[in-house]
Amino acid sequence: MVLVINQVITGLMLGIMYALIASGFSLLFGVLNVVQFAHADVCFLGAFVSMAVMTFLSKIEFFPTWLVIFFTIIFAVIITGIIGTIIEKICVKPFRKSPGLIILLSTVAVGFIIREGIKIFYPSGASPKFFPLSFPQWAFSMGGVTIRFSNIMIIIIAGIIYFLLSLFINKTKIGLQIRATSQNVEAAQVLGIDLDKIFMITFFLASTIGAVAGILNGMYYNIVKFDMGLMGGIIGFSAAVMGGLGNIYGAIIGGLILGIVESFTMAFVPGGSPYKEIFAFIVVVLFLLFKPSGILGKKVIEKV
Amino acid sequence: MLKINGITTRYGTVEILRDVSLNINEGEIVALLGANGAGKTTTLNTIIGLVKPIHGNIYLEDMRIDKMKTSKIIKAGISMVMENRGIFPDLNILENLRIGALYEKDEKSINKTLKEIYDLFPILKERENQLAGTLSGGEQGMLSIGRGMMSKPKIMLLDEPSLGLAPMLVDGVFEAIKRINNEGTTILLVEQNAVKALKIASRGYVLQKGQIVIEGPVKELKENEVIKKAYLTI
Repeated sequence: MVLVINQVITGLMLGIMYALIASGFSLLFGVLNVVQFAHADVCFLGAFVSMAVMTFLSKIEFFPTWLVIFFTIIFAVIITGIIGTIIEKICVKPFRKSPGLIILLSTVAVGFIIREGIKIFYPSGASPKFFPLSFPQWAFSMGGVTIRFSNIMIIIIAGIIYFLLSLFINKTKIGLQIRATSQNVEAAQVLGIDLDKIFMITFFLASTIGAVAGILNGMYYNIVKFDMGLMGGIIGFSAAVMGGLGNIYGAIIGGLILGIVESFTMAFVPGGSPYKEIFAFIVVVLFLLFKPSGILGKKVIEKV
Repeated sequence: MLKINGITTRYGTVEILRDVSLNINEGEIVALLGANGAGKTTTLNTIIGLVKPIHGNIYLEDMRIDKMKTSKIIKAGISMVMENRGIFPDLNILENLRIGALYEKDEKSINKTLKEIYDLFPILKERENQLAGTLSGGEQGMLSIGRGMMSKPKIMLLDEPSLGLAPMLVDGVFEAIKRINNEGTTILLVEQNAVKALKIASRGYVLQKGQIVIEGPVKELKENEVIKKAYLTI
């Protein structure tokens, strides 16, 4: 039992990262009606941006460490959000009236550019890098169940993000326009919703949430690698599809399921660690077979 | 109020409208008739800026609008009720309506318009918090017209509001259009149901293969042999 609870905690951590990435996929799919395949690369780019920002801020001598960390995260998240909007301007907006496949291909290309760009231009970017930010190592045990400070922080941070996100989406005028646009683009246009603005805001939003996921991932596992966006993207995208593409809450459920499947595979399948992705994707395939529209999804996806 | 002067539009290389001119005066209901594919919807889409004309110009009062973005045109005082209703299925009725008042900042004025809409279509008030996707076709039609009123437009464009409605409901829709007009909104009505449209309109245009072929007051149109033959014999 203790082992199960510990694995649930481990899976929850992984699941939250997946969920944050998946929510971005869902948000973007909502307005684009196409998968933005570079999204996970943008998320992990967020981690690299934060390392660069930290290097820069650490040079300011009179800044105490906690302030450096605080500003590093704020700046990295905002910068990544801006990068997201630039990607939208250059690689999505020109193709908005083209068939969906064009945007799909264009974002796949952007993903490659980000990964290879980090590899080439980030100092020794090809090798795994130690992530300089981390949570304090406090922990407490209760009957064998270990809960670390980082576990609590990650849950709180994710909780705050989802609280703010649902407030923004459900209670603001812009949020209403984002929801309307994802339900019926033509009608949104006819009502005078400024699609340029909605696309920009959605990309900013998804990319900032993604950056948080990338940074949390770095802080929790203390390691980042240029090509993490590849697997992160496939899993995040799968989680979004499982939950019902376009539905943010579904993405949370999908992400958590995959995280827990992976952690259980590692713990309970003998020598299971290498198989964790295999089991995760078996679950994905099963979901697609029995609930192709996703857990909370309504419409069956006709475009990819 | 709305002056369309010789617009020509293309989708790709195909010419949809050729030298179309319409003139709609304040307070009028003007009917735009025509068969499927004649270019009626394109005319409306051109007015609200979704399609840009390659020739000609469009004026709303003294403002030239044919080069403006749709959002600006809506703000300037035009609203459009789409042919397929264009409702947002997963937003509730109230949200669907409120999104029609995108550029209205004054809460009081929004609530006043809402009240007018609920007076016109009491069923919408009853179902205020219900998701729009659960409404029947007729109710969605009402919602769509109501949403078109939310921005308090000077002129409202209606694209086939009676399409797909049971005959019983059609009368209700035309009655509502007349009432909206009586409250001071100018109306451009695109219809295939020429009999009904000509009952409430004061003037009409007939569009054929992208060109205006007949225009005039309703009295004349009703007497016109071509119209009688093509549109009024059912």
